[in-house]
Amino acid sequence: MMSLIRNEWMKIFSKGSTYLFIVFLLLAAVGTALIDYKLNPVESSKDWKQELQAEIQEQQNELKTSKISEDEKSVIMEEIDLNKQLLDANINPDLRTNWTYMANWTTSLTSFVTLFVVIVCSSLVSSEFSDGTIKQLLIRPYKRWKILLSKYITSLLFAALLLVSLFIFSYIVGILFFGSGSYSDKILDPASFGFSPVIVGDYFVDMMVYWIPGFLVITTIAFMLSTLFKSQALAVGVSISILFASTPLNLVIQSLIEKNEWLKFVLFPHLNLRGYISESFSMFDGATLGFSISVLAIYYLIFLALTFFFFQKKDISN
Amino acid sequence: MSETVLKVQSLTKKIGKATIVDNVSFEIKSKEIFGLLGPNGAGKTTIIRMITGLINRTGGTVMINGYDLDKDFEGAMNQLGAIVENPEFYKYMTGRKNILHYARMSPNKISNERIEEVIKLVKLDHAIDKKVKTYSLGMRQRLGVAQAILHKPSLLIFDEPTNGLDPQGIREFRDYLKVLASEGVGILISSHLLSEMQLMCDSFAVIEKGKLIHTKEHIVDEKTEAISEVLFTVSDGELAKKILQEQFGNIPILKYEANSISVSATREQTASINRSFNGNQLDVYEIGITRKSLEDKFFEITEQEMRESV
Repeated sequence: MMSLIRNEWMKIFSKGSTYLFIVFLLLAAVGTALIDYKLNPVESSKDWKQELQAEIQEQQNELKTSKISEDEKSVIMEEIDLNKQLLDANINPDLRTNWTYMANWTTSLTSFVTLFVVIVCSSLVSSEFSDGTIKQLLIRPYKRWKILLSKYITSLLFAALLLVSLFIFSYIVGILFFGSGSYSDKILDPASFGFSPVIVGDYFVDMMVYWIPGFLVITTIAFMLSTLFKSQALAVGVSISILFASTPLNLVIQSLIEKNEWLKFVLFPHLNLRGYISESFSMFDGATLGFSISVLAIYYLIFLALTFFFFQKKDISN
Repeated sequence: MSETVLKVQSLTKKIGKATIVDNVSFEIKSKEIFGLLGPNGAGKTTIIRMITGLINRTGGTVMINGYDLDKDFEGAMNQLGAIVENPEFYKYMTGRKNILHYARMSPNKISNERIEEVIKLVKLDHAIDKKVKTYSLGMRQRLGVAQAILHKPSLLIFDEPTNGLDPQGIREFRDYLKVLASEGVGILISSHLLSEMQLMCDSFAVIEKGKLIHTKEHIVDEKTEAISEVLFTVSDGELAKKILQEQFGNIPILKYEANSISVSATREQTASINRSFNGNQLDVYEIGITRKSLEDKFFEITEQEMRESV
């Protein structure tokens, strides 16, 4: 099996486009850091505690003037509350380090990892058919399922490589632009309102870990489609459409789910688990992380079983 | 090692109601070059794909050097080297990487020396580090031979191997086959180019509409007493005819013209006719022998089949 995986790895890295994917991730890291840097210039010289206290003072002064309405008053009071809590908990709301950069930006760049892995893994199978090499590949002393499995494992290894590259690029680019920060710095949870502090490193790791199950299912769909239909274009097109269509589709599903219980078992709402990072989140009544993962796992196993069953039985006649 | 390297029994392929291959059986021995002949669409490729496990069989068994394809697929495949249809490679990789790819897929370790040896044998040493997309068809065919023989299989299968090759490529390929067969490999070749097969094969089977209609005729050796069609180009066709009728009354004259005459004769008879022509002041400019070709035999066989079936 090791030699099969080495072969697939060699095929991936004999193609120029593979290197482009990695270079693209580096450019994306630099690009997002640059945008962040330009949009909100880092003012590191100032003392954030003094600034925050000054801001509180200003807000309190504002409250004393009689010109503002009751509504505005309550908003300002909430802001003062939040600022005081930040001061008490020693949390800098304007903290800018490589970790805050990664928490904000790298977690979005994972979509590119999905895209590239989908492209590579569907080409691993479909190009054997389109190049005609499948005939030479399957007349070797290996059972077909082993050959297919080696391609699947190689796709996952390639995904790991892209993820690690993305992490390393972001970490270094983050240090260059925003300076080195601590894993355990506290920030406010970007996904929720009000005072909900999280450790920046934990938040980053959570965002990555909760991304993986959906990613695995999308990749497996691409792998299945390329095996079943021998077409890379179809495999990439459909699986990426599923990825991007799932957000609008979820809105539709959420509005219909009250009357249609079975919609709970549709794949789309479960593809993005990141919502579950905030404890208060619920996709729909009764939806839990465990339930979503179970649904994903069942789809995943069905897709894989279909792929392997089909490949084992197939007549190679092109 | 068993003497029979390929044993195919009652091979059948049905797709829906159509029978593509119908109860085909044959055997190939070590050192034998066996040709599978038939017009396009007769079922040759289907037979080869069933033997190589690329498509499922509706019925029948395949034994490769004693390994049953159903019971020990990996064992059977380890005994096989093949080019199925065109030699296809990973064009974006070098020839060497392609060979390395297949070397890694062999359960017996293939040494670097062996890889170099095979590359030299197929005369690709100058181009092996170039990408396959720069290769000519002839070079790809040679790389195809290299990947097929790399692991020293006991059975080689080539499906329409001379398709698209130039005369020199065909000749080279033929020479490889002879060398490989002499080393003890059994070789199965399919083709619709009959004259080509005649030069390559020791024995053959004719397949038509999925059925094996003729098997194992050993191709007539040049040295036997076979009767050939002999064409003499002479100074005077009339005179030649006269001499023949007077002195070789039993030799049939096929046709004659002003400067040529053709007869059916053995090698010995051809020699004495020539002597007789010379003795009678008839100049002989050229003696041409048209061997009864495999093609004629093929048509003879298939026509006979047609008549019988009608």
